[in-house]
Order: sequence, then structure tokens, then C-alpha cells
Amino acid sequence: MNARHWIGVVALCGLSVAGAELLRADPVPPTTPSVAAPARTVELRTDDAQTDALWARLRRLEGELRDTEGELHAAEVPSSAGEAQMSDEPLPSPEELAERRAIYRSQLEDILDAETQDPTWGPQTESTIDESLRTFGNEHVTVHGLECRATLCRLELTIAEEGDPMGTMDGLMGRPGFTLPGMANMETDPDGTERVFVFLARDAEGGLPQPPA
Amino acid sequence: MQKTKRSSIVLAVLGALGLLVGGPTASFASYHPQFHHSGSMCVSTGGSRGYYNQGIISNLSYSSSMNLFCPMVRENDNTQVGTVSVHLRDANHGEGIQCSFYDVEAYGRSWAWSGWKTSLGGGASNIGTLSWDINSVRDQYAGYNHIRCTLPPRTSDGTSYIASYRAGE
Repeated sequence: MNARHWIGVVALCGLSVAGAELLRADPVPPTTPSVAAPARTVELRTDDAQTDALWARLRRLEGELRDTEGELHAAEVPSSAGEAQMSDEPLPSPEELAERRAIYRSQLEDILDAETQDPTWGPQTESTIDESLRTFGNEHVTVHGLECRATLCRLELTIAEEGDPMGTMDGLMGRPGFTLPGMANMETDPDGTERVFVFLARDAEGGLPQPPA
Repeated sequence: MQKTKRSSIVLAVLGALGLLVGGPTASFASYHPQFHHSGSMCVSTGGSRGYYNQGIISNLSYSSSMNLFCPMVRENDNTQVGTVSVHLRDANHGEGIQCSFYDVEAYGRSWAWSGWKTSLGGGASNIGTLSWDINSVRDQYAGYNHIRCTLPPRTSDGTSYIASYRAGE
């Protein structure tokens, strides 16, 4: 239970007590007119003035409570880096996203480079992926590197614009080797050619290591 | 009596104020939404698309597979997707329904897919679910998710279809 939970609990208790008090303190008014009616009106006017004063005081209290709520929220330790950011954060620019992609790729490459090739899974998966690329048969696709080690595969392609880069990637998905969980980044070379970096994970359930927060 | 009544009003208003400040936050702290989607939300290419009143999308073609792109509602800022499931019927003994979950960065220049899964078996009574546990999304602010499926051609056992799909804790 954190502080906000306690506020909620105390508030509920307050409402319950108040409700009970009101039921006892405010019996059903007499319906029969009586000579005491004018005095009742005066009493209500007095109540109105008091209520206005109470409301003014409560508005101040509300402000203070909201300030406290804000301080409590700010003081909370986030359970993950993502939760520490609010929805009104400015969206990252395309350039910032490209930078993040490069960092993530670099991290995956470091992992892969540190691995020793599994003598069975590595060559077998490379062969499967290569076969899928060849049978897909797009003359505008050039393979710049294909490597599978122990838990990861790395594939780099360039696809000329006339080769429909996005359609090509779609066409490869689900083919043998490309059924593994993975990630693709598409970066544009200065001449307009699309360079695609693909990483595939051996672990079908776990997928790739998470990118940096 | 007057003093008691005034105290009661103060207590009541304070209680309401407390609920306003503390109540909703406390209840939302453990709120984990699930988003359910009708199969008819999927868009298709290839094959021959059939929609039914139950919200099912199916492939009526006897010869061609159908590609489906099923968009998924995602809560803003939520870094967790939870379990993603596709509820389907696979009527094709030979090919099965193949699906994957996609997590895409804003502008579509980076995308990740879960391992492709294929429904096993086939036939009129082969109803099943494909599921993935998705730990986190790559772009929590402007990224988006969808499920990509391929429906095999219709057979004498009937049509293969996606009835619904969902995501959530």
C-alpha cells in the first residue's frame, strides 16, 4: 500500500462516517406548515453563508492536496525506465530514432561477435536462410553478409528501389529461416538504395535481447 | 445538533475530495487492460475475402492463400503488451494458418516480429489459439502493433478463418 492507497482508504472511511452522521443529524423535516417556518428560513440562510465559507476553505485544501499528490508522484521510484516518462514527452525525431537503431544494432553485433559458432545450428541456419533468399529470386537484392553463431544470426542486404524493398522483406517473412523471431532496420544509402539489417534469434519464444530503454 | 451537522458536511466533502485525489489513482495503479479485436478488423491481400456476422474473416479461395494485417489497439506509453493471442479455425490439413506479432517503430523503419507460429492439424473442428508473450515494445510513444497472418486456401472441410485476436496482461 502506498500513500495514494492510504488517501483512498481514509477518504472512504470519512465518507462512511459522514454519511452515518448526516443520517442521524438531519431528520426528515416536518411537512406540515407551522409558525416556525420563517425562523427555519433564516437558519438556512445562515447555513448558506457558513457553507460558502466552508467551500472556500475546502478549495484551498483541495489545492494543497493536489500539491501533495504531485509531490508524492514525483517522489515515487519508477519500476522501470519507461514508466519514468510521461505521455507528453516529445516524440523522438527520425534522426534520434535512427541513432537509437544504430546503437541497438551495435549492441546485437557485440553479442554476436562474442559468440562462438554452434557447429550444427550455425551453418544449418545460414544454409536455410541462404536458400530462402535464392528461391525468393529478386535480382535487385544483394546479400552483403550472412552469419549465424550460437544464438543470433545477422544478415545485411541492399535492395534497389525498383526491387520493392518493403515488399521484398514482406515476401521473405515466414519462409524457412525467417520464421525465427527477429528485427529489421531499413536505412537509406546516399544513392537511394535501401540497406536492410536483419537480426534473427535462435530462441523462438524469447526472441532478441531487449533494446536499450 | 448544528455543530454535528457542520462536522458531517465537512467530513463528507473531505471524503469526496480524498476520493478525487487518491481514489482513481489507487484503483488505476493495478489496472492492466486487455484489448480484444474482431477478426473483421483485419485487412487482406490475395485470396478471396469473406466476412461473416460473427466478425470472422476467412479465405474463400480454393487456390490462393490470403495475407492478413490485423491492427491492434495499444495503450499510449504502455511499455508492456502482455500475452498476444489469435483465435482461429484451420480447415486446411496441409498448410495451416501462419501468424506473427509485429512491433514497429514510428515511421516504419524498424520492425520486430515474434517467431512465426503455425496452427497444426486441420479440418472443420480444428479450432485453436496461437499465443506469444511480448515483454516490451520498442517505441512506446509512436510505435504500433499488428498481427500478420496467412490464411491457407479453402478445402472440402471448409474455410480457414481468424475469429478474433487480443493483447493484454
